[in-house]
Amino acid sequence: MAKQNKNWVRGLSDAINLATTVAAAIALGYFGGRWLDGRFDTEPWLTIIGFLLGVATGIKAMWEKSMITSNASSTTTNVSREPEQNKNKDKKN
Amino acid sequence: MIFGMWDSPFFDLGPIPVDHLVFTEWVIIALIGIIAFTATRNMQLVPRGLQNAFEAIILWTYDFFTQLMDKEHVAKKWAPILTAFFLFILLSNYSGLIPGAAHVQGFQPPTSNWNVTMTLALITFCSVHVAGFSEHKGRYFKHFVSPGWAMLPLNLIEEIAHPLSLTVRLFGNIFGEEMVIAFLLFMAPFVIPSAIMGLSLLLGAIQAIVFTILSASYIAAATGEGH
Repeated sequence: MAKQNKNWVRGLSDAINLATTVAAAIALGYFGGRWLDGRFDTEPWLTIIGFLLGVATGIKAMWEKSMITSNASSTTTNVSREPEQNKNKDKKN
Repeated sequence: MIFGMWDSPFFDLGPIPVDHLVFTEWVIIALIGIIAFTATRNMQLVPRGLQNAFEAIILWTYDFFTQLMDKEHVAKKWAPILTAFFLFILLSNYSGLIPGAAHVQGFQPPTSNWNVTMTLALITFCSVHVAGFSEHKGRYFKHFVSPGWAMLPLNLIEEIAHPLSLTVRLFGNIFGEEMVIAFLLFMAPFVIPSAIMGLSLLLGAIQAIVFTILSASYIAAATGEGH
């Protein structure tokens, strides 16, 4: 039951976190770049660079989260398979 | 005044002008303080009444944050501030539902102003880095250049994106909800806005939960083994 609760809380926080972090990173990159363009008179280069950095940050955040989830699920699968594998070993012996 | 936005302060406290929403914040903080004081004034070994309810809430929050953060000592250290966030945001969101909110002088829902939501997000931002540094000491700063120095700009943007997303989400939701209710009050008073206000009960609770869970997950990420 506690495990189920943990998954629920983690799943919800991950979903909300990822969605808003990607949007905020892109917005931050774009508007930060636009502000710098205004200061240094380099329009549109810093806006484009900022936007691309924001998109890259979003992709990085998604990649990291998918790696963590994938590692966690493979660990859970291995743990759940362990008793079965041990049983097969015992049979062979 | 445009939908609860006053130009002048509510009153002056000596040389310091006190805004309408600051006054509402003080009322909410005083309310939480009075309830907490009443619950803990005369503590008994076998809890009853308000003490019993508060103990149940505190045990539940410790359990909830321990599940989310994995490390029990981190959860116990940061659960009080996270619970305070939850109660403050919940009451702030619900204060907009009291008749007269944003239309009576000195009574404006605090979370409908981005200055308040940004302050809360900045407290979270500082808490995350304090938690990370106190857990990992100097090693904590390595995660800014992980997996290599080339990732420094992306990691910095991500760190700043966290408080930005917390600020905009809470402010946008509550401000938008206030606007919808205000427009509906102009067009069809009494009946139609009450449906949206009913929905606001759910929205206010969801936003308070989301802010608290996200703050907890940022602290969990900063104090986790990945750093």
